[in-house]
Amino acid sequence: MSQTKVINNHIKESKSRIVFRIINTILLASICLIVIIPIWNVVITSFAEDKDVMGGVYLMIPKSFTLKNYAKVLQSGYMDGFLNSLFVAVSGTILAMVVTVPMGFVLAQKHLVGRNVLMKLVTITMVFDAGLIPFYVLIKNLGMIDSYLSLILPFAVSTFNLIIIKNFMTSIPKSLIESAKLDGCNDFTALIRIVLPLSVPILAAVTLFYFVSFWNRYTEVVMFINSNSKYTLQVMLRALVFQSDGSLGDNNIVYDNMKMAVMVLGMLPVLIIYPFVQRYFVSGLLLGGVKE
Amino acid sequence: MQRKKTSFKGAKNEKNSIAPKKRSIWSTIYNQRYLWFMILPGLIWFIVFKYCTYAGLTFAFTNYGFRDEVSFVGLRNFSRLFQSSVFWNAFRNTIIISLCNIIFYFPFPLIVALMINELKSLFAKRAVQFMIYIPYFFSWVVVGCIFVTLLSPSSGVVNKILNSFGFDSIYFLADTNWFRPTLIVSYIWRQMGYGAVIYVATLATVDPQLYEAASIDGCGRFRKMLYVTLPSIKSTIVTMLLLNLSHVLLIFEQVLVMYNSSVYSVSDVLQTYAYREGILSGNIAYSTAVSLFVGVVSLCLVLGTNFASKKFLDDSVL
Amino acid sequence: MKKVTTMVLILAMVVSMLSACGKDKGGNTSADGTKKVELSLSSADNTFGYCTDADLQKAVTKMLEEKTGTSLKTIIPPVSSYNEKVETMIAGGDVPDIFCVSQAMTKLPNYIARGKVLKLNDYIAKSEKLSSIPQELYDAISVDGGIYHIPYQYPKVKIIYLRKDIMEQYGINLSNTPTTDEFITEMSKLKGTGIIPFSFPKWIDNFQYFMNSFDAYAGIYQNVNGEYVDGFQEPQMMDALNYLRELYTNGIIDQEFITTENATMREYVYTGKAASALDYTTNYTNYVSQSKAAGAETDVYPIYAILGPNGKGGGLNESVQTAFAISADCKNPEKAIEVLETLIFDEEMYPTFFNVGVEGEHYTVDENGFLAPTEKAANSGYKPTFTFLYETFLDEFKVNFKPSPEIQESLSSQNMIMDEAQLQKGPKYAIPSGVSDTYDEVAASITSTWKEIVSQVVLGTVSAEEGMENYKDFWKSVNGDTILKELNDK
Repeated sequence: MSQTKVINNHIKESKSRIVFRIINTILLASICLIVIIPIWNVVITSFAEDKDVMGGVYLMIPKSFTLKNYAKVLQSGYMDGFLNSLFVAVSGTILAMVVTVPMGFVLAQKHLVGRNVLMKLVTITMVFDAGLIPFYVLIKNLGMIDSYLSLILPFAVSTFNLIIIKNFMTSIPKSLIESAKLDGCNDFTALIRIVLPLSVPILAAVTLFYFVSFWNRYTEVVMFINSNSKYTLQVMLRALVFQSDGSLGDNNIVYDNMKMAVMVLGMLPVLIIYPFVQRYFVSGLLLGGVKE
Repeated sequence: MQRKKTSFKGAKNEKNSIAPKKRSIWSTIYNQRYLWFMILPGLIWFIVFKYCTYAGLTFAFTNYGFRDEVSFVGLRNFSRLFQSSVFWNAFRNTIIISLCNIIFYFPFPLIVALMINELKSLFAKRAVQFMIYIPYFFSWVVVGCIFVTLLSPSSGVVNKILNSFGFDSIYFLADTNWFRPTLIVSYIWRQMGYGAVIYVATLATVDPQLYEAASIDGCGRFRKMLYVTLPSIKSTIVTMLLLNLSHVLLIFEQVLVMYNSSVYSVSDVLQTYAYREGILSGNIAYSTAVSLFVGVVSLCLVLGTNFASKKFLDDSVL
Repeated sequence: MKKVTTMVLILAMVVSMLSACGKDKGGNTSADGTKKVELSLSSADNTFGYCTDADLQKAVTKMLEEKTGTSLKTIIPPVSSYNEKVETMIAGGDVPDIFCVSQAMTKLPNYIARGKVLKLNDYIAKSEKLSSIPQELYDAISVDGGIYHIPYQYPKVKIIYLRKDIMEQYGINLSNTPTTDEFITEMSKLKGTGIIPFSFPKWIDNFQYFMNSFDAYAGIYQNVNGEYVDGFQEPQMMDALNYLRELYTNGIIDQEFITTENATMREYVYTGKAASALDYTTNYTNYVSQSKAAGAETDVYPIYAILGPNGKGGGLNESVQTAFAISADCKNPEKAIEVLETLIFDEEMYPTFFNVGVEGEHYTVDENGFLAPTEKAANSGYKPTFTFLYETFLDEFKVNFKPSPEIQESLSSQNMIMDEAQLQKGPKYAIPSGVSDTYDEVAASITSTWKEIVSQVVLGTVSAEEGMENYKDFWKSVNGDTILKELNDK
């Protein structure tokens, strides 16, 4: 309706806007640079020859290029660990989302009987941690020691992610759900048809958080798993690197280049899925109009 | 904007006025049966995997892991705790480090997310998001390795830069004045992307109509941010603050991989103390007492923030 | 309809939980025909053939099972998390029947006080083989005459290795047992060369090597009069601290030692970036072969001890570093003892389990009689370290291959160094646990406090006097004098 006014506004502030955008871009670029420099070092070190990394050199400019380190890591049963990790992370993330999302939705319904009590109970779990030993005893009593289940079930809900989801869903206007109910939806179908499509960005973010946390889990894997054939990638890779840090010396020293190759290969799979998840962060834009 | 708000409130009032007739609680629960079915798996999970382990918190009142016979010792572990100078040192460090983390880390992801939001090109948006998120994929052990080499006085790039400006090398990880700043910077470095993702995801859902309306009202960029963006993601900001507060005292792995004996006095935190006493020395009961103490303090922090949020922002997170 | 979906979900969870239980039980009843004794055995992944591959580890287990007629359930955590895993299992009531205790001198007394490990005196007395282990290694961690462990090897000793090429180039002239002053003067010749004279890792307890020169001992110990004293407050500790500080200010100790890992320390010496390091006697051949691999070949020169003003000094003694213990709940201790006898005294089993692995699985023997790792082993961190085997209690162990020519060459010097270092090793006192409640409660804090103070003094954050004052304050706050009283009254 007032198209012209908007355009006028744009023209009016265009100068300050350009300055603002330049400053903004420079600031963001420098932030990215600070983030990237240490990672850059990791990457080029992982491609370097032994002789270039011996004795703690900090590489900023690549001196040599070899795939030897990667080849070595990939041959060392990497695939087994990778598949274990993938299985645990994928099934864990699916289970986690299936449990967390409905729960977050329900807790967002202010009219739920006993909601306050439930929220208090949930909050308590966020700050109290009984520690590893009681956790181990529980897993033992459930008969899950040395089973993949011990890596999936106990981590099906992260109170953190639950509250993030719950909070997001609280901000979805209640009127939408009410009107859906008038159209014959129950709470469950309302969640599926109305709330989930509106929450895509946050669901994408939480999925990513879950996946990364399953992928990077280390301590619990070592504590709950006894068979080496079930170890996840993180445990395997760390064993490969830190064996030589044990007090004894040994024949094959693990130089930094190998260490860095291990680090890169450990996170590469999650890095690859990131762009796929990322596209959903903005899809909410399209749906934004539906909200009112 | 203002108009819109009142109309929303009006709608609320209207709904209240046609409040449902008094019904028995059971019939309400029956009406909410779908909700209950949906929450059931989660509840079972919480009971089994969280509340069952809390039985272990009773270790704090025993001498578990100390002698052959486990016996109930009442509050002895706590009285020992409060008499120990190492504990108080760890407590002080935890508070200082947590406070600095909240003050310096907390605004960072928000600012970065807002900056990203201002970028025009979608590609640039995604590229920046992607880059700042990469460190989060590294576990703390790896981040520890990265910072040790990065900050090495003789070969690390940070000290090279300092030297080129004529400054002396600083041994960041062994200097009691520099260790905490290093912890905080590395924390920001790794966690910035994580926080930013949540804000970016929330920003994506801000109704574009609101921006248009603000433009019509003659709002500039900055005022739009102030009057549209921030209020729209207000509850997310409070949630993030609350979540940060809930685990800020639990800082552990990061310190464990970065500290060394020369900086214990400024870096030893409650969780590392509990770890040394418990898992490393077998004094499980005592370390549980430390955890319990941390939990109580965290709970106070979280409930306090929630109360403040309810009072001042009229919006309860929990 | 939706209700059904939810129900299915819950059911799925419950069923998967139950199936897990079922699986677990199924695994336990794998008795094949003859009834074998079932035992669980835990040791870090730097044993079991020193290789992270599950199949190869199984091959080692199989050999052990065949030799002992047992059915073993093995738990092989990564070495970097081994202690945590053991503590979790023990505290969680899941003590493995047989388990390896690393850092036995500090860990085992705690397990004993908690009644988690079996008293072995009778079993040792009955076993001819186990009785042949030197009594002092049993006594090192005994409580009231009760023995709860079987030592795995002779004590590990650390001495200083100095690169001979650097010695010659810069005219460093040191005997095998130089004095503290000589060490400083000679090593100072490297000032300004860019070479780190003495590379050191972040493990503060390794400073004990230099404390030995002053007859100082960090930690509580029983002195010559049979009286328990706190070594850190003895007057000679002050001299040791001042000497360490002097080493640091003279640029002899690596200025960045507090962030240096063991592996990095070795790397520095291999590459010639550092002139010397403190390391296990068994690593002698590694220094020779690795410096060659790094393109800076040299021989290394052992310094067994640095003699202080009173002529005292000695190598860093780790005493019983690695030992095996048997769970107090073990149903068949006789069989467990048999397994341990086989692990420690079987000529074939000992090298196989420790780090060589199984022929045909981990390695093959080539036509010249040398070891050639199989592809599978080479790809999973297999690192047979032949020289480590020599710390065994066996007179001779049996392997089907000849050590590589380089190792053969350095073997005689290596064994000479090992023998000499055993003679010159410094003291190591077991921590008297289970006697004084006050001590057991604060033992961890005492250790972390003296380590903090030593590192601060060396780095110059505080002076030795200030450090000692801080320590005394701490000592008072934990009722240190009560600890000594309780220990001495016993």
